[in-house]
Parts: sequence; structure tokens; C-alpha cells
Amino acid sequence: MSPPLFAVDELGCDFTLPGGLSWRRQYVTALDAVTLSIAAGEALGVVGESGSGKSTLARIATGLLPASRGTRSWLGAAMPPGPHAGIQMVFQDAGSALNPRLRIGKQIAEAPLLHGLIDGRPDDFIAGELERVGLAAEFAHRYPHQLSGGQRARVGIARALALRPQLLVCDEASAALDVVVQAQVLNLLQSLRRELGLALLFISHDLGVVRHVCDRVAVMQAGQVVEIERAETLFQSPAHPYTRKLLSAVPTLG
Amino acid sequence: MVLAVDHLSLRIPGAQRTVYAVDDVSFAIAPGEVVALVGESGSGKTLTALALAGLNEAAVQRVGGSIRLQGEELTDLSERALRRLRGAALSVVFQDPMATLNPVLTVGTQLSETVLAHRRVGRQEARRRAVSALQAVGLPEPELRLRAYPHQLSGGMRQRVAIAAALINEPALLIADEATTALDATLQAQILALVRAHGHAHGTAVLWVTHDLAVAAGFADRVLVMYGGQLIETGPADRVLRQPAHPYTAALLAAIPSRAEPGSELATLPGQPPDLAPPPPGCRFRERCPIARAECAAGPALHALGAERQVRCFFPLVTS
Ligand SMILES: Nc1ncnc2c1ncn2[C@@H]1O[C@H](COP(=O)(O)OP(=O)(O)OP(=O)(O)O)[C@@H](O)[C@H]1O
Ligand SMILES: Nc1ncnc2c1ncn2[C@@H]1O[C@H](COP(=O)(O)OP(=O)(O)O)[C@@H](O)[C@H]1O
Ligand code: SF4
Ligand SMILES: [Mg+2]
Ligand SMILES: [Mg+2]
Repeated sequence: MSPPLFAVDELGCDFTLPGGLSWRRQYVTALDAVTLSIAAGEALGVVGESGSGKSTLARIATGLLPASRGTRSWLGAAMPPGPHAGIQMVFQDAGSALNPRLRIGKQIAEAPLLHGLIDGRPDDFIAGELERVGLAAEFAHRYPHQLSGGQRARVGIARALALRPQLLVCDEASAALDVVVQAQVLNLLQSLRRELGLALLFISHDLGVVRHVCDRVAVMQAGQVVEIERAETLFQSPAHPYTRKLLSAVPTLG
Repeated sequence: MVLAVDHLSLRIPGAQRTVYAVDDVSFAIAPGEVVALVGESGSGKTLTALALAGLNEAAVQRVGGSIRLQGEELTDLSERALRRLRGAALSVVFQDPMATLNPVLTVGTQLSETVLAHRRVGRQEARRRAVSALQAVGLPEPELRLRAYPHQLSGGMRQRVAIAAALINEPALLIADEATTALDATLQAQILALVRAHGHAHGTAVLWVTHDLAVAAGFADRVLVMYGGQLIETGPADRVLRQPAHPYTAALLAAIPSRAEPGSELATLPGQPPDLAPPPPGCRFRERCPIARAECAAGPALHALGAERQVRCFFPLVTS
């Protein structure tokens, strides 16, 4: 069998808490022996209660945060610490992740220029990237505050895709959006998967969204993956008691 | 009725353009009733909710209209009188709990002070109420948490403290603006159940602002749908969300992923919400409406649809 696109093995992460009453140092174990893999083009969902370690996993996978233990691998080869051009991240609030004083076009071309993917005249490149996320070329000249929430979310995705990643890590990328805009963003992610064969590590507390987008789902509790299963199976017959509790808490529309 | 809002209109004058943000909003909430205010971002939900508590910034002007809480007209009250109401007869919970919590006071001090500021009780009784308020919101080890500062709690815990503070004086009206939007499903379900039970037990009227229709469906008795600064549909939550009458409500429901086949293309709307500076003439949904006709240029009024529902559309999807 060929190796997966991306994998983490026995990943652990401890945070030191400042202060505290005792003399001993206090640790929080945010991640505890997390092992999972993502195939090329696959969408892996991560769900779990607040504080269970989802964002920590996202930041370590992307290389924004060093792990305390464990390894990452890319196509079977061990990865050095730090960012990797093949993995990009879309943040929870795409709006606040953009630089308010920089035109949209500049923000999209910034990293590709730095990496030497394009030369000094990036206008055509920017227009192409905007078109990919369903925005007209004229948006390149706008500032973030001149965009709607949904348009900003699209720019956040365009910026992450500009480096041609094979894996996109989305941490609550649609949580702050209302349903119509959320539907537009989810449709966009689906079409990018079809067209570019993009793989997703998709974190969300909205189980309906995860079920819609993901092929497989990992359930996290207190820093550990307690269940990982094909989405269809997981939502129909959850095996772990915590997964059952999580599923039964979801408000549904008849 | 605990709350009666009549013909509330709000506008925000700017140097170049005036935003006509809220237009002629009327609704009432009965004791123990939970009303959800839903609609997309920018539709005017927050401005409407804050107007009830007198909390909008000075730039937001009220143009006529009346707000009565337990029969008392709030639009006539001074800022001082409003401050006396807030935290007692009326409480507000925001999406970010730090908007109401003080970072330099312990949880116990904040809750006790809220009681002491509005109720004639001693310190001991105030503390006892603080503990039971924390117990009620399901905070583990409430006695211990009294000594914690907000930054020593997780996000979900902080929101529960903010809700405990809002309910501690048993207000007649609770206003919540996206109060559970940032929380995970288990925590959200727990808080909604708690607020509902409290409302029913104490006759609290609840206005729950959310963009999550599933929350509205599972939690509210009645729902108000807002679009472009106007109420466009109101009625019992189960009926409105099962059989929407307004094309916009139908579009919101169609866009929800959990109702679609996994992986399928989700239904969306073309275009953008209307620019409200000034609002377009005619039906404000016309540009995006899949069933718009020439008549819609006239602009429909919010009218009764049977005994319990209202809709602002010439061609509602449900008749009576
Ligand atoms: N910089 C930090 N310092 C100390 N503790 C931290 C830090 N970052 C995260 N933690 C702790 O690590 C644990 C996991 O946090 P993480 O942000 O990964 O949770 P999450 O699953 O993303 O939660 P949410 O759904 O609320 O976003 C929590 O207990 C959190 O308090
Ligand atoms: N301080 C302000 N200045 C100018 N416009 C504002 C201000 N506050 C709100 N608005 C506008 O009023 C409308 C309604 O806003 P809001 O009530 O916050 O919407 P919602 O809560 O439904 O997302 C929006 O068009 C918004 O841009
Ligand atoms: S009045 Fe006309 S345009 Fe407006 S919602 Fe009804 S059908 Fe659509
Ligand atoms: Mg997180
Ligand atoms: Mg709002």
C-alpha cells in the first residue's frame, strides 16, 4: 500500500501553566498520543468538545506549533519541524486573519512572491486565484473592510490555496458565517476537492457540516482520539459512548 | 406581555450616508416564552436587541416607536434609570462573555455584587445565591470557582458564568445575542435547556438572537425572521421552520447542510443582502428572490397569515 499523504504518529503536546498555587510546575496535556492519517484528496473531520485539543492538533499539523512528542510524516517521509508548503491553514475568523491595511490582491500574492512561485507582475496570478474562489478580479484592489463576511472567508481560502497546498487545514472555518454564506463556502471547498484533489483536515463543532463535508471523522476527548470512523458509519452507529453523547446533543431541524 | 415593542425604527447617520438599519419592528413576548430572532449577519438583530436594553452606542438613533417592559415605557427613561433596570428586571448576555465579566474581579465577587447592587440582602445571602446560580448553570465545583478569575476558566465556563450573572436576580426579560454560537454542541444544548427551564419556572421572557436555525427550532416557542432591517416572517417556531411562508426563510432552511445529501451541492442565494443606506424601494428581497414578479416592486407589508403567523410577501409559500 502506498503511504498516506500526511500522517501524525503518537503526537503529544503539553502546555505549562503560569502561576498556580503549588511550587510544582503545572502542565495541561492538550494532546495525548494522537495517531491519524489522511489520504490524498480525503476529507478527515475532527470533532469534540471545547478544550479537547482540536486547534492544538491543527496548529501542530500545520507546523505553527512544535509537538512535545511524536512525529509528522509527508508521503511516508518524516517531516522536519515548522511549516510545509504542501499544508496550509484557513483560520476560524478569516476576516480578522487578514491584514486590514493591505489590499486583497497583495495579501494573496505575498506568500507566492516570497516563495518565488511567481515573478514581480502578479496581476494575472491574482485574478486567477480570485476567480477560483468565485470573486471578480476587481476585488484585488479592495481592502478587507470593503468585503462581506462571505467574501472575506473566500479570500482567506484563496490566500491559503495560493501556495498550491495538497492539504488544507480548516479550523472552524465556517463557524462565524450564517447559513447562506456557509453554504457558499462549503460548496467552494467541495469543488476545490474535485478540481484540485485537495485533502482536508476539517475541524468544526457543527456536526451537520462535518457530516456533509467529510469522508472520515475523528472524535476527540481530553486530548485523545476516542473514535475514528467513516462518516456514514460514525453518524449512523457511533461506537464510543462519548460520540453517542455528542451526537444526541445536536439540535436538529425536523 | 412582559415585553411589547411597537414600530421600533433605528438609523445611524453618517458623514455621507445614513444607514436605515431597523425599520418598523413590532413584537411582544409573554411570560415564560422563548422567542428566537434569526436572520443573516447585518440584518439588524443586534441593533434591535441592544435597543431594548438601551445599550446601543450614541450614534444609533431611535426614530419613533415604543418599548414597554412590564408596562413601563423604556424609551422615556434616563440612562440612570436604565442602569437600575439592567441586571435586575432585564439582563443581557453577549457572544463574548468578557463583554460582561470584569477581568480583575473573582467570579464570586462579580456575582455577589450583582445581587447586592439590586437586592436588599446581606453578603452571606448574596454569596449563597452566587453558589446556587453557578450550580444551576452546571459549573463543576461552584464553591471553588467563586475564587477564580475569568481568565482561569475555559471559554465555555466563562459563558456559563455570564449566564449565571444574567439570571441571578431573576429578570423579567433575558436578552441573549449569539450567546452559544462559539460553544460546542454538548455545552450549547446544556445551556439552552437551562435557560428554557429557568424561563418556564420563573416566567422570564427570553429573546434569543441567533443565526442558527436549528437552535431556534429546538429551543424557541416563537421565531422572528429578519431581513434587511425588517421582520419578514413571524410565528410558532415549529410551523415557520417546517413550512416557511417567506421565500427568504425557505432559502435559509435549504442552505442547512444537515438537511442535504452528504457531499451534494448546497442551495445558496445569488447576490448580497441589500444596502440599507438607503434601503432599495419595493420588496427588499426582490433582487435575490427566486419567485419575484413585477408586482414586488411595490413593497409588501407584514400581514397576518392565519391567527398566529405573519409574513411580508405578496406571494407567500403557505396560504393561511
Ligand atoms: N497557549 C496555551 N497555554 C496553556 N494552555 C493551552 C494553550 N493553548 C491551549 N491550551 C489548553 O490545551 C487544551 C486544548 O486546547 P485547544 O485550543 O486545542 O482546544 P479545542 O479543542 O480547539 O477547543 P475549542 O473547541 O474551544 O476551540 C485546553 O485545555 C486549553 O486550555
Ligand atoms: N455603529 C454602526 N455604524 C454604522 N452602521 C452600523 C453600526 N452598527 C450596525 N450598523 C449596521 O446596521 C445593520 C444591522 O447591524 P446588526 O444589528 O449588528 O446586524 P446583525 O446583528 O443582524 O448581524 C448592518 O447593516 C450594520 O452594518
Ligand atoms: S414580495 Fe415578491 S420579491 Fe418579495 S419575497 Fe415575496 S415574492 Fe419574493
Ligand atoms: Mg479551537
Ligand atoms: Mg449581531
